[in-house]
Amino acid sequence: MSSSGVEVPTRSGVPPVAKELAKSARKRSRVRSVGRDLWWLILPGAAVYLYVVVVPTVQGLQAAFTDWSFATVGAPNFTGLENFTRIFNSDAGPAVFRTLQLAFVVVVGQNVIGLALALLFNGRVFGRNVLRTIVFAPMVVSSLVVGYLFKYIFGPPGVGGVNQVLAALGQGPVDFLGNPTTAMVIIIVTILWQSIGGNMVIYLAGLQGVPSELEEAAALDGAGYWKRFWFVVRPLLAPAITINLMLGLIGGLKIFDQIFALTNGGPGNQTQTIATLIYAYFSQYADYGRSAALALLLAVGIAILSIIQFSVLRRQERNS
Amino acid sequence: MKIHNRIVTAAIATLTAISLAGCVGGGSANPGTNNQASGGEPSGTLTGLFSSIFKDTYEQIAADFKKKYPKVDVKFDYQGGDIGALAMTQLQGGTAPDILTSFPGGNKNDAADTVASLAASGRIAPLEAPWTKDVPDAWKQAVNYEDKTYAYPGALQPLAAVFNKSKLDELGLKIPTTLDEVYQLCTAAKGEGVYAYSLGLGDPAGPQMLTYSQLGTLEPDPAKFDADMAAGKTKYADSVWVKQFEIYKKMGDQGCFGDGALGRSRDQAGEEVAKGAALATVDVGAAMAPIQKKAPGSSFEVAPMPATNNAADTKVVALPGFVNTVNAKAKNPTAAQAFLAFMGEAQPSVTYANGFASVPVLPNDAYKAPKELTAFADLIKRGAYQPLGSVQAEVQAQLNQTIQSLILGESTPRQVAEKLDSVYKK
Repeated sequence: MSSSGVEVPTRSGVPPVAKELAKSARKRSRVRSVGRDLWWLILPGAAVYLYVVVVPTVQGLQAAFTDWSFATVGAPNFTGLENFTRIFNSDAGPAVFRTLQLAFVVVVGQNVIGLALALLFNGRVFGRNVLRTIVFAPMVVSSLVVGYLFKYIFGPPGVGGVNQVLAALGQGPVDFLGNPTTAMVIIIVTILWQSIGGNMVIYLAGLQGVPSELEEAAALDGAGYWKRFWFVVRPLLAPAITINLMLGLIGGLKIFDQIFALTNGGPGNQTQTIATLIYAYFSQYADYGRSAALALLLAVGIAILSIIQFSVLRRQERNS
Repeated sequence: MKIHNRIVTAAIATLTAISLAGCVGGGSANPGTNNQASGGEPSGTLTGLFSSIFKDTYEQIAADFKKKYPKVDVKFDYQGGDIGALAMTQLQGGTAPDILTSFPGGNKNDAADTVASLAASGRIAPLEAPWTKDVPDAWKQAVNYEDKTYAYPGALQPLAAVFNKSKLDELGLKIPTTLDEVYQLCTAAKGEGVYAYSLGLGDPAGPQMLTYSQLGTLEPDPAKFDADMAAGKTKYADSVWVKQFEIYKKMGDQGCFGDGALGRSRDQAGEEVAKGAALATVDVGAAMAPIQKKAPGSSFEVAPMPATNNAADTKVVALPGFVNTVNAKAKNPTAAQAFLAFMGEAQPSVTYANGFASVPVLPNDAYKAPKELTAFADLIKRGAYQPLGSVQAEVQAQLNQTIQSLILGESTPRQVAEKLDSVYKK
């Protein structure tokens, strides 16, 4: 359609505007297809990906339906859903519930504290770059090392750092890791201590993308700090919130290192999660089939929860 | 363009085939792919996997071995943590070294790093060493499978209480010889501001130690119990195991294990004994070396854990902690066989026993027990010891976790035993 809205036919029967459109579409398609002939350059990367990701994943899927263990001589037997039945009849039920609880608390903690720190360090705070570095620093340490570090900090009376401080202050000892409730709290504290720096950085990046004019205009209109945050900053932070919640949920559902180092699932299986159970099935019982089946269930569970969360967050992002 | 596409298609197909072939090749089991056939003069590189705790011992034996076989280049790897799980992963992945650290005995149906399981699945090779005929009858089930010897048994260590004798003497307390005296020691220790038994109940393998140490006295015939379990004639819930869990519970309730026992690792338990905050720990003999290292000025004594009120009933549990095996797919089987044959000779056996704070399994006139092991060595000589039965890997893991539940008050002794029955594989 021309700008005047009148079609002028040509000898070929095709309007000139349509011709122009077709030409520009061809041009666009040519622009889009730059490098099309070079697609084979991805082959080395694709082969590595195939070898280290796709093939083992398919093998893992197969293993979930077999009796493959360290004791297997020759090819493992196909056992259908037997591994899954055994999992549902074992300790996996409480572990699933505990995994969900842990993931929920960790996601909420990471985001509330991470956002609060980002808002604090986005303002004019003395030494904010140093403070940002200090908060982010634990991210670069191995999770397992952090776990063992906290195991000594919250160790038993006579050994643990906190208990020695309590003793010096004349207070009674606390069995931090020997009590299921406090052990779970210490696990959460350890995870948050290590991970909130990452959340803070993502929120800081989001906050630096909020135009200061908008906040100033809202302030001139009489909006206080809370209203400016809720009605101006929060909607613009929606992509950062989505990323943090998604990464937090996925990470929270598969937390392993800190639990392994701090409690190894104890005391009395009370801090056992899906990830530590997968390890126990694989490493302690050498029951590779059952371990693969539980890993498959965890992967499917993470995928379902992530898709639900992502679609809800995207809808909210669009609305805001 | 067509030619170009064909090249690309062929490249994809080739890469895919290589990738898949690599995966299949990695999983195949072909024992006949050794680089060097067994027999002849040992030479080449010899690899091994051992616990980092005993690095000095293995390095000393390796150095002596090299004097005898200078053409062999020994390259041992030492790892901390769960050495059994690492060995199994390496065997499964086809990356295991020539000599392995394994565990004695076991059950052929169990997926574990034990002699029976490894031999039944063809993962370790029978040994050709001259000392195989000298293995005492009592320890044949620990290293033999179907009448062939598959492991160097090393040394017997006690699974017993390790007392800080200096602290006991300082407080005027005595090593208990009956169960009632055990409870009395707990009360007396509390009165002195210390506690009696520092157990690593927060450690994955910590809670089982007290159970095993007392089963030596409570279970008269572990081999028969194992056979009855396999035949379905008995259950843990109908056995003396329940009696031991009752003792465990009572000791926990009486404060024998001190504050924070469930959060304590075995290393931390040893530290408590070394510094005199606790009077004893219950562990394998190998745990004694690091304790002595931390308290060089104190003296320590190993004593069996009483489980009844008749002192004459008490037996010390003796076990070869780690054993050494040869990978069936060893790259250098000749050197591997030569090394295990060498380990069984008089002097290397003494080096091994001293490094493990243990008594040699093979008869050895060159060995003289150190002071802290004199009583244990004497018990071994007189036959007043008890070997452990075989415990399946999943049963053992559940044992450790459910004992924690027992101490927390969330399980009864009978429920602990029933949990073990629920995971036992016939």
